Amino acid sequence: MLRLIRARLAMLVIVLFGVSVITFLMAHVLPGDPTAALAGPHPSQETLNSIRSQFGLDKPLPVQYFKYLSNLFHGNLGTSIRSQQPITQEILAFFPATLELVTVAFLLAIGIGIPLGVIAAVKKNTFSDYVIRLFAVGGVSIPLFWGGLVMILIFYAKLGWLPASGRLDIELSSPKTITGFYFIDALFGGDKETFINVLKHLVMPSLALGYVQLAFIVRQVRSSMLDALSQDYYLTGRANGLSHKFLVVRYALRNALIPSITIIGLSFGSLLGGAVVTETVFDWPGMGKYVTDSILGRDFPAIMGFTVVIALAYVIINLLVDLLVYSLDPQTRK
Amino acid sequence: MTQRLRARFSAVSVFAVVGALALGMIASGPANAAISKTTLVVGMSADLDYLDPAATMDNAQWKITYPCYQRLVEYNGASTDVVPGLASAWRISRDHLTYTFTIKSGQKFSDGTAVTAKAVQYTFERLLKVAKGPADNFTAIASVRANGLKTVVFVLNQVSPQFLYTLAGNYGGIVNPATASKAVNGDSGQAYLADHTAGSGAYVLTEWKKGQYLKLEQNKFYGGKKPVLETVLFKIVGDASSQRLQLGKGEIDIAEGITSDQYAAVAKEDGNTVINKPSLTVDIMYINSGKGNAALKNTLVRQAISYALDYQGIMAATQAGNATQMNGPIPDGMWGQDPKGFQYTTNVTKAKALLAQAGVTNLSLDLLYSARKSWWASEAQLIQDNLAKAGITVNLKLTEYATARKMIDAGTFDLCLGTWSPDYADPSMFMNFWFDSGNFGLAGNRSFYSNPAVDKLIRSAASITDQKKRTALYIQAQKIVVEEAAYGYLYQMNYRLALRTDVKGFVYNPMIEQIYNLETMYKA
Amino acid sequence: MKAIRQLIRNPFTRGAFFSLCVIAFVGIFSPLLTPYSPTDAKPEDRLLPPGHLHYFGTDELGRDIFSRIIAGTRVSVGIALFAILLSALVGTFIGSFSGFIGRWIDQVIMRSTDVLLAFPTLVLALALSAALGPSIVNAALAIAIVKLPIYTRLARTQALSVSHTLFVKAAKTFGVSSPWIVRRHIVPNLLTPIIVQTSLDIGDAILLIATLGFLGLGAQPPTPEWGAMISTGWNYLLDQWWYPTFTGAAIFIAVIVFNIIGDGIRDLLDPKAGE
Repeated sequence: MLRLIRARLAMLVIVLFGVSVITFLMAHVLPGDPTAALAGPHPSQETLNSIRSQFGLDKPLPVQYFKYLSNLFHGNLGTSIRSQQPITQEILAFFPATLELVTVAFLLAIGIGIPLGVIAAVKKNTFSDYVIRLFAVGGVSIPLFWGGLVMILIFYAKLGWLPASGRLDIELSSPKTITGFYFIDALFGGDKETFINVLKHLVMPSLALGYVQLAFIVRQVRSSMLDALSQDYYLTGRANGLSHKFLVVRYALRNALIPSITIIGLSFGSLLGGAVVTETVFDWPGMGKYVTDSILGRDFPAIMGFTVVIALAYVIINLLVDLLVYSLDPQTRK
Repeated sequence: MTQRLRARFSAVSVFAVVGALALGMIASGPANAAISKTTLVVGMSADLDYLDPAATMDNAQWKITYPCYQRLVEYNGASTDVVPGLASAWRISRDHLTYTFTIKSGQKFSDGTAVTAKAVQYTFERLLKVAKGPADNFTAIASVRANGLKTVVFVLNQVSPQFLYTLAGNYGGIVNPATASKAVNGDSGQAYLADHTAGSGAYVLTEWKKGQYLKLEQNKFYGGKKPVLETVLFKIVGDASSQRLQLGKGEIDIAEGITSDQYAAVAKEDGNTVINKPSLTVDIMYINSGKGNAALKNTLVRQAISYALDYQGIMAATQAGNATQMNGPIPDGMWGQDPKGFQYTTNVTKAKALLAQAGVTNLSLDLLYSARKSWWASEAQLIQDNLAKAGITVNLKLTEYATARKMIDAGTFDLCLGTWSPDYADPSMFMNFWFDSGNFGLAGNRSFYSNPAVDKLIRSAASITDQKKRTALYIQAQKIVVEEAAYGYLYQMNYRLALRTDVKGFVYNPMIEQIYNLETMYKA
Repeated sequence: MKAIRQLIRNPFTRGAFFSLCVIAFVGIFSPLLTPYSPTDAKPEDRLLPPGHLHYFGTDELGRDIFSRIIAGTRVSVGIALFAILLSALVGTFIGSFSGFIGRWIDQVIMRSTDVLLAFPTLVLALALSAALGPSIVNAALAIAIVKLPIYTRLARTQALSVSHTLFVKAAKTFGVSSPWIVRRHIVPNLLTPIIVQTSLDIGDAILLIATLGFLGLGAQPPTPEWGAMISTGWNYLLDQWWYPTFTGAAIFIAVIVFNIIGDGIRDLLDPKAGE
């Protein structure tokens, strides 16, 4: 167990270093100039130069990178060019929103995907199997920006059931920050109205994002389950008169879920990036939208800060998944 | 092991059941309550950047800062003239180089301290030290000195006819000197003022949830008449269709993000109305005669392009007809405009003849634009189509804004779309910025146009204060730059804004576009 | 041929297979199938509803949306195919050499893929295509790079397992050149998993292209790229429903067809996931 953690931590250092170099280079070969976009409608050359030097953009690239790296070691991600705020502070504002959205979407996808996958496997090549697979594959096939808007049109405009944008009605004050997850904070806050309002706001974005992941989970669970059902113990069990249902629940499910958890867990990291479009459509104040705006606005420090943090989250999540599998599966312990 | 797994699995099903229940509960919940009469909610398309009056140069941020700060002089309602603001009176020396202002008494910053002449001195010294966009408007200031608590004296290093008007701009907002203590690493408090306001205006920024909304509440110490609106919320709704839906439901009172083609339908919907007024914003095409395709140096080619454009078609498709074709660089409603200015009309035959006369064949030009304005994509494609008819090939270069700006500054384009609106009501905003050969690039002369005769005319017009003489000089210059087709003079836009019918008292002033007079607005 | 027969026999993939043939036909013969020019503006015909003249209506410049969707098939699907094939080709090459040669080269390549995988796909694609400058080819390159680590790892795993087999070891001992071994023994073993992976990735690539186009980083106008069309079109959803609806449906159909076929191929070729 310790060895696993140590290996992962070593990898973390390598990955973070690589990510910092690549983002730095990428950010600086991006054509364009944040100062030209921010200096106002008709800046003079002097003003442009003055702003560039205030952000250290006039220094040679290696000097800029070294400064960036030394700040990074002190936990300082720099100052955003667009907002002139410390990036650490901005991440603290945006990251919990994304994490909340992604976590709820992920739980929804698992909660719906695992039973569907099991049913599809047990009823292989029947009508139910086809319907489930078609439904699941629909999720990865709908352009999110299009599907999201259609959802808003139905559930907000026509039916009036759900709010169209944001995390909370603006007339309500946001719950006191404990975890940064509004629905948990609101629950602790004990205000029923806020809690329900937060949940309402979560429904559409998390369903939209979760649906994308569904196909992957159903496919994974179905094939692991098929695998499990074709193995000796199932056939022997059946020959010995044990019921199909008993075997499915007692043995096959367990054997099928362990490999699935590994692969599904790893996909959690990729969801972080998938949130970009969802956040844009539903005005979810998260990282995905922020990174997009930073790239388009050439906000170099913000681009770098956010990718480093996302990479960090990705590696940590992978480590957690490994640990989970480790504790679930006796075989990996040997 | 198995038990643990089974527990996990049943946890999953419990989650599913709880989820289903929650969905049911949510769906049956009460509908959203209407917004209170003293709260105004404005839907805007994107979050803002930074709010420091010494740094921001974007009207989008100004709609927050303008009502939070006060200026020495203020625009008078819808007029482009200025009236006393924080200054109750002022005196201009005979040589137009010394301005002496008397500060009105009883004006207080949001922390309760009085607005003094010292604060004015602090504001302008800070603005020049920060040296960002706003400083460009005050290069004429040689010194600013507080003379006691009530008097402040500006000494200029050159005659500047527009000086008084620049003071009414957002950058003229007087900042509380107490913010000096918030400075970190010698930034003059820029980081603090980026997301705080510290003025003496009617409102104070009390909350900014990044990516969600900004909240303005009344300044308890405001020296003027107490406004009706207690709270103003600026809510970020990125998508135009979503904004329209929320406006229709009364969840937002004003929708800034409505796109051109939607206004007609929005106006027809119950409870909505659309304000539609001529503005001073123009939409033009830079024709790079300095650093672009060599053929563009030839006046005949630029004239050919101007004749090939289908002005009416472009205005219909991009502004749904809510625009007026320009007759020269200065828009209608600004003094100094040449009322008899020549207007290019669509004439493909003439365009072809001019090209032939110039001896130019197989001309291929790059048209640069960004997605900054929603209508530019249509405009660019129409121009491509128009010029194709005259035998000119146009390659569209859709480029991100930050890159496009850099390319404009460097002059690496042939044609480029742009908009321009004046910072103050003076024709120099158009003539001197656009045509002075000392202003190449982002600074204003984006066609990289150079004509010594024009330079001479516009420079002398900007150095005197007699409006009649200045008008004469500018009209002379206009005749040349229109004749020489230095820019593609497309159209003067209308300002359109979609709002609920119960929002009253909004006054549109073309000098401070996108800014709301929150102090006097109310909901009926 | 056997594979196709099996795809047709399975009711789940049958419909998708025929749809794929239609998409391929439309993509190849699109210039012959468009009733109007997909790029020429006609302002006087702007935003017309669907009718017998314009089956899917017209857009904000008066262009026939049906023609643009037809012409866009070649652009969107073609570019996605190009991006994935490029990625698969390069990835297989890098991965098999990495696995075969091993040592520090392998380490460097593997850590590089770790780094690339730590970026969220869309964010990386976004940054890359912004860095390369907006054009459809650059968008394809960006997607190819984003997908590269998957193929590299896949190929490496296969290469590792093959290079430990007796015949490869023997070949090495007899001094057979590395490229020969790679070509002769490693590549054939790789084909199946790579084909499965590509077929699953194409749908995703179409969506990625569309998303980049939607964010303004894909094709240059007036190219009828589906994502860019939706990007403009969705502002018209409330009054001119036909504009984004038909374009969105085109993307959805193309992607779902590729995904179902991908699933089908996987079931056929990957014995573990199959029967």
